[in-house]
Amino acid sequence: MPFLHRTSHMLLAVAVIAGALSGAVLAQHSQHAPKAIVVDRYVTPDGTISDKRIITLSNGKIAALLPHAEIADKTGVAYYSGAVACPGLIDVRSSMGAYGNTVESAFSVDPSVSAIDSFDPDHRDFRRAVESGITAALIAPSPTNLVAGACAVVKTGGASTGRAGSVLRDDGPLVFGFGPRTWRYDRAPTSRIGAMAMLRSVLGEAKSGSQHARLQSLASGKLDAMLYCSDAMDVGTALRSVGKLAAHTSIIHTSDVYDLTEELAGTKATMIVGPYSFSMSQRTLSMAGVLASAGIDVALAGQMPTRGGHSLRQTAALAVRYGMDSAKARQAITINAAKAAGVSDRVGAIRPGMDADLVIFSGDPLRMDSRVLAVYIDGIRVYSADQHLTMSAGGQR
Amino acid sequence: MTFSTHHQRKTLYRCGFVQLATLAVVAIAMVSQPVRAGGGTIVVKGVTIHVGNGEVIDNGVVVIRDGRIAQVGANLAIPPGAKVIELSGGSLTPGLIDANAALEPTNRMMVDRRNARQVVADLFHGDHKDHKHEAVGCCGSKCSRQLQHASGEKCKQCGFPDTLPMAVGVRRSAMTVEHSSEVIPQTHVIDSVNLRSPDFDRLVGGGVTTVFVAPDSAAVISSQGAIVRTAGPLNARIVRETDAVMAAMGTDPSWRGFGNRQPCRQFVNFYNRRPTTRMGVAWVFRKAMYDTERFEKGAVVYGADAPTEPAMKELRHVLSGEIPLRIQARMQHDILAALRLADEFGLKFTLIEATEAHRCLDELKKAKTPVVYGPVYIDAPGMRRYSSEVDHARLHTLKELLRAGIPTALTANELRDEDGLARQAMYARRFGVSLADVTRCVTETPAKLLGIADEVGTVTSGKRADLVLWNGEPFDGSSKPIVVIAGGEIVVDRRKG
Amino acid sequence: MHLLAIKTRRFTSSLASGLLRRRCVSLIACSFVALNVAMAHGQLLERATVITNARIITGSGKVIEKGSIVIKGGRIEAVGAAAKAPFLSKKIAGAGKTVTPGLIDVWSALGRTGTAGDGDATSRAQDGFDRYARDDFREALRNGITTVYIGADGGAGVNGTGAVFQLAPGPGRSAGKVQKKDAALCVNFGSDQSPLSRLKTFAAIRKQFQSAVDYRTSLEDYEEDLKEYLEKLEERVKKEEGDKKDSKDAAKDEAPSDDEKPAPKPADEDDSDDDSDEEEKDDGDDDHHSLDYFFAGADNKTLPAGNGKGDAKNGKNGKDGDKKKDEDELKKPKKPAFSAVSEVVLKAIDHELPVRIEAHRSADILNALALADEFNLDIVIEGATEAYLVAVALADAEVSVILGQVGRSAVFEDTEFRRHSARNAERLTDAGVKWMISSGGRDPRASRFVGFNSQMAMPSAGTKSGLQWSWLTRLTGDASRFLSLSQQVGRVARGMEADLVIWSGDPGDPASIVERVFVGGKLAYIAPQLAGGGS
Repeated sequence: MPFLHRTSHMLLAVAVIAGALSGAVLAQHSQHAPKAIVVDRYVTPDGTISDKRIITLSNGKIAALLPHAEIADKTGVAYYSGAVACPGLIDVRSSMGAYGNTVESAFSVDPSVSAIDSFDPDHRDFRRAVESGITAALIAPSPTNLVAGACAVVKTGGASTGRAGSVLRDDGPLVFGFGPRTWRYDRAPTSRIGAMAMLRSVLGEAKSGSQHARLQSLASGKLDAMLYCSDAMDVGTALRSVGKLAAHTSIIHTSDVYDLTEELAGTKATMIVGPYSFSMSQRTLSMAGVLASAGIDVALAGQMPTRGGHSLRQTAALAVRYGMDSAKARQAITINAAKAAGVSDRVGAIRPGMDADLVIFSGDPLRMDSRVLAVYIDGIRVYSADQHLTMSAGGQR
Repeated sequence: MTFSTHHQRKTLYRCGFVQLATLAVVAIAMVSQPVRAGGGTIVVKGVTIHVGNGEVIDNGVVVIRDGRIAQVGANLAIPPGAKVIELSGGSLTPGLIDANAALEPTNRMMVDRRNARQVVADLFHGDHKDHKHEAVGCCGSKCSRQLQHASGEKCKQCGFPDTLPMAVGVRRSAMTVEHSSEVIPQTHVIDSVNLRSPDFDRLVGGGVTTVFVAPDSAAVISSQGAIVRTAGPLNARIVRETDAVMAAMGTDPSWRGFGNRQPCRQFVNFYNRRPTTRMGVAWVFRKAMYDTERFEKGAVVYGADAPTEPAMKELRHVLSGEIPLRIQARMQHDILAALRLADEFGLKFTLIEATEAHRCLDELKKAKTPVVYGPVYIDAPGMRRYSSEVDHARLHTLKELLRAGIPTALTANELRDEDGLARQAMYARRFGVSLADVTRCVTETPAKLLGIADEVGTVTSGKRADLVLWNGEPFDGSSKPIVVIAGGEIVVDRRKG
Repeated sequence: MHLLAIKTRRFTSSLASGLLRRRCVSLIACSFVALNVAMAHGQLLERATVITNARIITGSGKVIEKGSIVIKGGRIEAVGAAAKAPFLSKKIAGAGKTVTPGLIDVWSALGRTGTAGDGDATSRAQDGFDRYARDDFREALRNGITTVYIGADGGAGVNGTGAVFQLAPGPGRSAGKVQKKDAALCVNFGSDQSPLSRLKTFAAIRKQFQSAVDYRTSLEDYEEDLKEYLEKLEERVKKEEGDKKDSKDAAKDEAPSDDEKPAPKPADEDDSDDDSDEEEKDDGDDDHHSLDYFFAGADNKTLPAGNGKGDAKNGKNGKDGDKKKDEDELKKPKKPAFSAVSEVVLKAIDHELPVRIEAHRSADILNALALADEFNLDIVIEGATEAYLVAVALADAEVSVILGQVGRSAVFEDTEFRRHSARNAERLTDAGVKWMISSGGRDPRASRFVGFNSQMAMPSAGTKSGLQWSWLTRLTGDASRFLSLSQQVGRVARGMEADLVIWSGDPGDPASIVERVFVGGKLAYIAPQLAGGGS
């Protein structure tokens, strides 16, 4: 990828030039980790876009949100005029950085598998994710098994450039696969009825305490579940089987659950919809909006790297064009995604106490002509579209 | 969207309003109808009632209230405010019950039979004649590759393997039968029943209001079936989630299973074998029951084809008689084998299909084995034909079974619409079965066999109002279901054209 | 006509009695009244539609913050703050709304039925356009797309001519009006091919252009020969007439004409010396030629009898030789076989048809430039996935490109898109290459999101002042100019066809919906929300 190289060079160059200009170690530090970021508007936890704010940071966390006013000490303040600060985007359906095959097909019930074990923090996917404004990803083992293993939730960047950052969770939601992709000809189950019989027996064992620890904690309501479904029938069965047990249930299904809207609304399950592509039918594209207006928590997924980094925001834009409320769409790619990944106490919203994972967009993140100007993870600037940055050395914009 | 000018559009709107208004009226009528039916009363009058148990009430009246049959009789007083359905020359039967319906495979089978050979050839080459099968791979990306036949991924262009004919395309059954073992009573057919399937509309259109969903016969001891209503609200359709376990004799589990079990066949040895013959099928059945008995007593069960633990947990209940057993057998020697095996383990069972039952009437009578007979084919398609198991079918078998006093229900299995259960009854009429008997074969007897006779099966007050109104004598070649009432609601109404 | 008739009548009436004359005057008056009434009627039928007080983005980069648009007779009659609503016009309140020209997808697959397969240059996109792809049209209109260019799809090679369609409501449930047929010659450099087959593909395409050039040369030669032949024929006829005047042995001369058939060979040899190209052709086609000769001879028979005397320069030959020579000279030249394919390709060579070359990989793009250079073609590169790698060459050649989908993963794509870069457009801009944005000409459903695609192509543009609407301009004014339709569509300006989209808000915001779409002045789409409440 030539352009990646170039970007990294650019980043390096920016860093070097900035360092040379400021001349002080402190200033350079502040440039990468400012103590405050000034933006025109920011995306609030309820998904709306509010007025001018100053976001102050300390120790990689968001310290406070202040209304716009003159800052007395202007050193180490990053100004982004006309920009919108958004919580770092989260892709909840990703195989980012997966090294090698994530399909462990020997056993269809394999709760001991952890996605974190196949994750390569130096994978180029992470750099691409950061450039697209995605600061955290839920990495799932391939859902081609009935019980496919535990997800990991990682930050896509951190202190070292081009490398994935901290691991938010390595015992993320347990993945369950439903539908044809879990049926194989060379091992049980080979069919829907076989899969369901197996699931019944596995869950039965889990309840009675004779299964893997992960399944047992799921059965006792202490672990989240991530249910990959192929069709509406799967969604129904998934909801009624695993969905009844897990602490929090996320269901991944994109095309058609109109019939189940009522049933879903009665549960606390999160529906993970997406990725949306330009080729999808109106009916599919409308689904996120229909679910959201029925009061169901919807998270949108971009499926990086199978789809490009644009995919998450494109999915949101298409969902909005097809009826999803804008605020809900913004939530769907930030806080709702964090909830589905079980990390909403740390990321997904711009609120004091949360991790300072921020994306500075040139406009509304839902607009496809908004550009990522800068990305902060844990308060450290990990990406910058350099020419747009007006860094304050002495408080000038 | 309106592809029109303003002016046209305005008129269109006007038309639209009129149409909308009409639609609204119709919609209100349609919506209010079930409401009235549920809350109010429907009366069917002036029809010949075939009660289902052999009785006939001329000029009968049925009063339906709250989804149930309130009153049945001749010349009853009609309650005021009731919605009256009157059909001169019509007749009324209970909603038909198919005690062995196979869901959804058939439509495609009928269409694809023509191309069966081509499709089977494709199976082994992986490609369709004009395109490579293309599916969404496990990575989620678009990749062209040979489909793994049982992986269940559908080709985006042709729907393969969904389009496979069930008859020869054994892999199609990968969707409904579990191939990891020959003995799978722990699986439930209900898991693969799509209640939204249009197949149910076809069934109810043919007057069938309750079905036993038959498990696939490609395993020696197959899944547990389910009893499902064909109409009504989705959440109230399942009568019984699991019912009988189905076993099969003959070529279905051996020959049909043949292609499904390739990986296992790679390691064929004395202990790891699959039934490839009738003897093998009987062996697997026998071993399953034998192992279960031993397992009960705490013995260690061994052997590559020993049933799995979850399977034995279910078989235990089959042995104790808690879960009913059904055995599908077509040819005489398969029926006799089934009787022998049942005798060996003290099992009671229902014989399914029983194509050559006329050749072992005495044995069946002696064992007091009820039969779900059928379907009768003029020209048997698919597996039945390829296995030659129906070569000796007789059209008067049902008559002989009834004459021998064997409780027999009639099934249409996977046949639908014009070929459905009513047609099967018509054949029976044509070959000597009385109307009373044949009505019983598709209503009361299956209800009794399924253990739902206190709910459905006859036109008796107190029972669920599942009724079929025919425009002539039921099962006559010239009559058809005109109105179908399920749970007191009119679900099919063909009175206007 | 009417007036003329009246005038004549008047004239005649003036010739007739005065009484009649009077009647005639009343007749004139009556007819004028009738005419006026008819015109008034026409006006009533043709009620104007006015969109009032809307923000208008004109498509050429200008924004009118509060203006009205008058639509009449399918065209925009007036635009601007001062535009007045005519009497009895139908008004659409535009306050708070934004009106833009209908978006144009300059490389679309909307309504294209299947793949055309192996077409040749004579295939035409309009023949494969499904006018009843109603759902797709509706979706396109719902997202503001009103005009699409559809290429002639096919594998590698010269695939035919593309066409531009306007999504105007058509008869019945159909839609789609051919706005411009033969809009471009479509060439595909192939996708997902091995390097070897790429070479073959290119060679095959080049050959088609070369044979078109050869075809033209042979046609020109023929024209020349024909002219010469006709001249000589005329000469001979004149001479003969002169001879006839002498009329001494006319009958004598006529007799031997039967013997003139044989011996074509020497003639051939003589001719072939002039043109080696022809020689080749003749050699390949000997049978045909002799047959031709036969017919030519037969033709000669019907001509006025051959002249007795040869030309002056042949004078030294004997009489027999003379005869032969005359015969040869009078052989009608053979017209080259009509080549429909070459006829189309020639149009491209004559700059009547722009050539669109789908090429993704850098090597293919360079090949395309070479082809354009060799045959002096006006080319546009479609796809141009790797254009950023050869941006300088494109800029030097002043060749513009049409980009497809901006959002691609580049990870699991096929060979063509492996080096896809979301910053292609940006880099082309930096290099000074003119580019257009489209839906990528493959996916019929992608056309509707060409707006998003355009926004994605240059996301930075939005932040620069004055470039806020550049994504839109690219899909409207720029696109129409690109398709040479700038006088028909793509702008909100007086006299343009009324292809207008009324957005509920900022067209760049995905939350804005398209409320109404007018195509050719006709309401082609109305949002269900509005349709439900009546308008």
